[in-house]
Amino acid sequence: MTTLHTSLAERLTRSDFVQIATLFFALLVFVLLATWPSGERANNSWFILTQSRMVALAFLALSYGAGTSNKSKAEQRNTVFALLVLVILSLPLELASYAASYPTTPFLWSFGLTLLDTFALFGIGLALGYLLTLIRLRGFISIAVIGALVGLFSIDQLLNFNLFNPLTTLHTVSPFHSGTMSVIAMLTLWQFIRKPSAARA
Amino acid sequence: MVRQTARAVNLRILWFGCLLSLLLLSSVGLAQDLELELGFNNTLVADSWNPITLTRRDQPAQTLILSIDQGTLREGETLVTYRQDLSAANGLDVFEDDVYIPAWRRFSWRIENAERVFASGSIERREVNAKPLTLLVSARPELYLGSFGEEARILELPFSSLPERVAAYDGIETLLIDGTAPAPTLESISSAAVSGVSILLLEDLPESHAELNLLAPELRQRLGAGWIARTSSEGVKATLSMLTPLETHSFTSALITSDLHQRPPNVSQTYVVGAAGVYALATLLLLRFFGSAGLLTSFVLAGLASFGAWTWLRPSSPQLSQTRTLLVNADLAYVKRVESLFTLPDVSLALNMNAHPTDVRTYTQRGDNLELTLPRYNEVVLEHRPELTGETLRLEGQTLRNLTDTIMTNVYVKGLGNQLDLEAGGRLELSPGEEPELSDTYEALLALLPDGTALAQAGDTTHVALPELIFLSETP
Repeated sequence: MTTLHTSLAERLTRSDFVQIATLFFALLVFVLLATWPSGERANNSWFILTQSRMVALAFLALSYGAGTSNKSKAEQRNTVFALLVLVILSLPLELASYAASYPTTPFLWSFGLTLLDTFALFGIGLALGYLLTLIRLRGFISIAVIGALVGLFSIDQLLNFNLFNPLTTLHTVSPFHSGTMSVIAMLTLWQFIRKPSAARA
Repeated sequence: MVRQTARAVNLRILWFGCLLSLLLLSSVGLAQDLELELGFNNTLVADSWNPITLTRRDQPAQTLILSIDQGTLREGETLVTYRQDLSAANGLDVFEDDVYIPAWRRFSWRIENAERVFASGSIERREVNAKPLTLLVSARPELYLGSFGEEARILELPFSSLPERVAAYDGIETLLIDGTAPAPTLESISSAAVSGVSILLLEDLPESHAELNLLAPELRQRLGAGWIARTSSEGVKATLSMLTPLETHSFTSALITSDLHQRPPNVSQTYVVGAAGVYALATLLLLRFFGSAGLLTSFVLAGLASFGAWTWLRPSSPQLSQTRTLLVNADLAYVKRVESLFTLPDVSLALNMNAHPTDVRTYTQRGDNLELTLPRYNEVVLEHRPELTGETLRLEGQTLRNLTDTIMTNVYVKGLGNQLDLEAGGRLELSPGEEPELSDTYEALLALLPDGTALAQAGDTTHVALPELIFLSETP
């Protein structure tokens, strides 16, 4: 446990992650600045903040997933936990906008979904990275990540069903989306905990 | 053989006749066992509270449902539903209530239970009429038809019993009683007068109507928001021209002023963004420079910041409600109450009140509960059913009396100006005062009230005392 905590802290202090975290918080503060109303106007800040946060986390999860697919399991694990730390540490900003916006969606749903989707999307990123390595197109990883993100968001529109797009499900409780993402998250977790010998076999 | 066949045919005809008679009798009986009267004599006044009376005899538990579509062709259906559950009627059962009936596009009613529909009906759209009624409680109504203008909407009630509820008279402007029909009760006449109706009692009422004279010791007197006047059969028109009825429907809009619509103000953007920026900076510094200890501390900081943000920014209540009450006093008080309800989240409300929204929207009045759905950041203004209560403020010549146990402030007399505050149970000698800057409610109310009217405020309640009026002329 101590090792995990220390290695996670070490991962968080690395320059790439510090820069990402800075940009992430800057984005949230900017969204608050842009959407927080004055006077007695309706406060809709949560609806925009939570979607911006989710898009940013989805992009980061897919990118880091694909980017660390050729790294060690410990590195992958530390990276995904670092992303989950970002989710937890941005909680006060989301809670502030949620408190004032009074949406109907339960807060635990949106918070839990953000954690779940971040973890699951990291798993999808890992799969994407493995696939690109397999077909020797790892150089196209940036384009592939953006393509995967757009694809995941638009596949629901094509199917007319809430399965992969976290933006539509953030404001409406969707058991289908959470079910799908839970399965992907379980597969990702299994990927982390399986023994190397089993992987080789 | 032929004779026998003819006899058999005659017998069959007789049987058939008997059967038909029985069926007819049973159907008439069924109709008499369930009778619904909407408004006075099934005449409704749109955009007003109307009385309903359901008479049942030996009926199982049933539900009375009125469905009123007040939508438009462009915006579609906007349904107002009135539902009243009625327990089984062993013998005769009379249910009476007052329902707000908006102008309708479609109006249907039915009496049903889980098994079947017992009776149903509808009212044509062409019957929508918001003009107030003039009621003639007389066996010879034709004598008075010419006394009311051509525009008057006259309804003859030769044998009807009048309701003893203020709201039932919301759509009535004049009530004439000449003593030729059964005498109404004191309570029904008081309710009608308090509601704002001009009541004309013809002189020389028979002995059966003697107690009505208790309400009219003078030729004309105010009672609540209305009048009771005595006159001769020839003087009806002249008396009516002297009475200046109050526009009680306009009181609602006078009470709906801008300060009734209050939303919770947002916390300043500068403070929120500033606090968010400081938190983000502190978290990043902890993560970057303090390693494992920084990570743990940032979690603690996140917890504290979440708690702080919630307690600072969460409004204390998801719904905000403000009430304005108006009491129009003259011996008794007419009570008009409006309530604004603002909701932050989407909500389905069941409010224990008899009221209606002042705008066009779907709602259900289920027994004593008003059920309606409001989207987030939405407001509805509800008008409560008018009521009657005891006198709270009285004008006695040049003296104003506070009959409550609450201090009254902002005392103002139309024509005299501002007065001193009125202590609980206290008296005040009126004198010319300053003309202050009046509140929106006062401004709107004064336009509807006669000279000499006193107004006073106690919390959200505005008390109005109407002036006594001395008539020097004799009976017209």
